[in-house]
Amino acid sequence: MAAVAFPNFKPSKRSYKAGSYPQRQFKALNGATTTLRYGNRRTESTLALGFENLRDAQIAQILEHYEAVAVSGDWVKFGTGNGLAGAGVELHPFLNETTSGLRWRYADAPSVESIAPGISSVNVNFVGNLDAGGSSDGNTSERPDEGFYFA
Amino acid sequence: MGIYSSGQSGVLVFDGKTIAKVSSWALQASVAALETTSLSDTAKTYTPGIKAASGSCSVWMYRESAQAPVAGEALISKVFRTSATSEKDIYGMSLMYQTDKGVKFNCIITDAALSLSVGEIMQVSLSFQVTSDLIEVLL
Repeated sequence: MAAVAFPNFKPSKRSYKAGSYPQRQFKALNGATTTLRYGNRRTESTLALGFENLRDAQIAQILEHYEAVAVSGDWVKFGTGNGLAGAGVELHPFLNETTSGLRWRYADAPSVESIAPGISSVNVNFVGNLDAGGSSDGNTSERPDEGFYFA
Repeated sequence: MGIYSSGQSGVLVFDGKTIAKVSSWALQASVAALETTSLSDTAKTYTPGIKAASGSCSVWMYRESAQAPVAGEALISKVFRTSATSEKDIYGMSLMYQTDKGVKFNCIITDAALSLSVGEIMQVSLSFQVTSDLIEVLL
């Protein structure tokens, strides 16, 4: 498995949620709360990209990318030519999850809306998760790839 | 001497018949601009979408004699009616401003407004929506 670059189309809208730390909260009868944190790395970040009024040939490239990544178990990386377009460099490590060790995968299938002959809009949603077997120090290069299994 | 068009040369042909006593007609056409602005752009960008056209006309409610048909009756009856509309209610229309200059298209009459006031001849104002592409454009 490897990182696969997203097709080079710049989104017209983008929404990012940083994800949360795995934890559980217990509340006592008197209302006092105790929080148990199970990990020191956030997970389940989300990234939603919207592409308005692309040519259908471009939409097809995104769908083909979805099929390729979903079947192989690869994950998705972004650059300034696509998902990171227009974002300041300070945001790049978050939007690409390079320091967190999270890996972007499609959260669901892309949804395509036909607008006019040959023109469509598409929304794609990604979820960033830690693959199982990852090291706890956040060094992604030491992480084996056994986190994605085929039935 | 220059050539120009005025109301005198205007003609409205509806369903193959020239409508008498037309006081005005107007036609507007547009092309949708679909926004393609991406996050790194600093100015909005667009791509052309689908076309549309619509128009309006006004016709005097006038007839040459008691036996003659009312001018514009054919148009009015498409909206002021007691029967239901059907797919057959798409009609050919030509708006000409010179003998060989004008626009031809198919349309649906969408609005009709009758008005009558003291000291004026009764008039009907109609709106129409062009359906599909324009058939012929001679400008």
